Amino acid sequence: MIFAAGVLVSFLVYLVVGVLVGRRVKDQEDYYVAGRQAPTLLVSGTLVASYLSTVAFLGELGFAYAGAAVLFLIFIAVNVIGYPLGVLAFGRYLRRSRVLTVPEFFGKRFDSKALQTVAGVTVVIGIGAYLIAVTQGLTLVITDLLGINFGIALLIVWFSYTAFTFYSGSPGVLVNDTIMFFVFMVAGIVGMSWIVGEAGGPAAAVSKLASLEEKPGILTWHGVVTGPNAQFGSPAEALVWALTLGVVWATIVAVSPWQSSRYLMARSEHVALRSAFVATGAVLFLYIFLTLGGATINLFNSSVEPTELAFVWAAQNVMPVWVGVLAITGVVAAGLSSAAAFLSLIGFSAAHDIAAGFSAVARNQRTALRFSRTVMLILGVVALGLTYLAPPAVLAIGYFAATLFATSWGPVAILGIFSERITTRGAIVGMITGFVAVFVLQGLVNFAGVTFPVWADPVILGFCATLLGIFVGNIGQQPSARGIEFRRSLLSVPEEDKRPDSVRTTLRFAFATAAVCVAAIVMLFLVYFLPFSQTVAAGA
Amino acid sequence: MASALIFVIFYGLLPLLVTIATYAIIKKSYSGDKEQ
Repeated sequence: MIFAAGVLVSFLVYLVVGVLVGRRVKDQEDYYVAGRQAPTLLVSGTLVASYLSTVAFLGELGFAYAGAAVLFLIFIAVNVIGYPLGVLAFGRYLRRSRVLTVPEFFGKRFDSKALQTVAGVTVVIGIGAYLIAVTQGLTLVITDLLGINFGIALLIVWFSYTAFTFYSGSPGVLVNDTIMFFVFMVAGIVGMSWIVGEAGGPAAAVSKLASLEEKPGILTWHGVVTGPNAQFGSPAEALVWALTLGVVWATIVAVSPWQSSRYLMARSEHVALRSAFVATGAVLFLYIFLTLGGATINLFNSSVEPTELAFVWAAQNVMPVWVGVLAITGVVAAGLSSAAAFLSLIGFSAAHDIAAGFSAVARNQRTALRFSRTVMLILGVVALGLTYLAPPAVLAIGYFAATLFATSWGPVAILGIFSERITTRGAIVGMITGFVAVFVLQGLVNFAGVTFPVWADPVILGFCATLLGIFVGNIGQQPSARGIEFRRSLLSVPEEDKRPDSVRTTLRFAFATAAVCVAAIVMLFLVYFLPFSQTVAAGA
Repeated sequence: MASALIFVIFYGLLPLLVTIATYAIIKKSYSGDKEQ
């Protein structure tokens, strides 16, 4: 009961904060991009909070628990480089464009309302699916905690993020995301540290895991590849999976709407750059705890089903009550923060990118804010219905939705910045081809059990489809002169961002992130490599 | 054992190298030169 009370109190806090912040929203710029006045703390908070969701605390942690803890860290190492690379290659240019949504950026870059609409539709479909996955994850937790049926739990979860998101827009999401960021960082670190402590400390835990019979090889770099709990057929297959998905997710954190759009709220370009550094360090650091802690849960119970509930089980059965409540509240915070960001993006795109393309409703400034809120509420209700009907598959749907953006948006976004040769038709055809290719192929994998060889993973085929679509669409058309002019207008660093003191501060953030990277190596060496190598040597 | 050590180094080294490269690009780009 105390777990349920803790979670419900956190719901109330987020609701009150959302209402308070929402009262200051006066126009569309406030509602969509928080008035472009957000400091580093808030942009960093929302970057990480939008990235980490129930997919991380349930799906990915469950994956580590199931037998691929170290392998998952290989994926994360590639994944996080998307932050610094992404802000340099796309995020800062996006911010300079002063658009309200990322699809609007594509529309201006290629001088095409049709492309803006196409990108808007991909946001609604792709992020809509992701929202369903995250909401399912949250509902799974609440159902487990309260012992109530799925429908009632879903209504509670849905209301808790829809209420403040619909009313307060980006400012509410920004502030609540940052609060939730601190809640789940502390929850992840404290909760997992406690589990490892209960197992006798890092050395004892690693030593016991290294000889765990139920999941042999759980602490090897490739994870469990033999026996009934095998997740991959061979170490090579596991490595290809980690590297491929790492590149996909690096692209996602670089260009996806739920990550890159956060830079639109930054009050300066340096805030965007610094936030990317903070996100790199935070994700790199937190996942050491989530994955190794997730694996350690096996020492208390190696048969939690579904594996996605491993952390929730540990919070209720291994941790003392106060740590458990903190852990559960953290899981819920991670899910709510992403759900709020996703719902806001769907609402923004439907109102600003899709409806504006077909009607004149959104052009009426007097009613634009009310219109945006109404669209968001309607879409929220649609998402509620779909979540109720969709089969539960947190990790599968989450990854499915995410790969859609990596493949269909990634090449168009990056080439749109670094090349003037892509035509409007090339961008539209490329984006649609990549989206449809991954939607169909990944859908076959996830929901029909079809398998592809490693070299023909749907993601790789999707990237190829996008590039082919751009190439074919380009044939017989010249790039738009207005699109090229728009691109060139983004290339110069704004004068206010050349101040030496601002640059020095940003470089200090880079230095601190480098220090976190070194600390991660030292930490893994001490808590993983040394005890693991000693155990293996003793066994041999 | 070597594979476990390689993993440990890879985990921090890849983001470290990218961070250092980003540091260098920011230092150059924001010094007043026009970007290409």
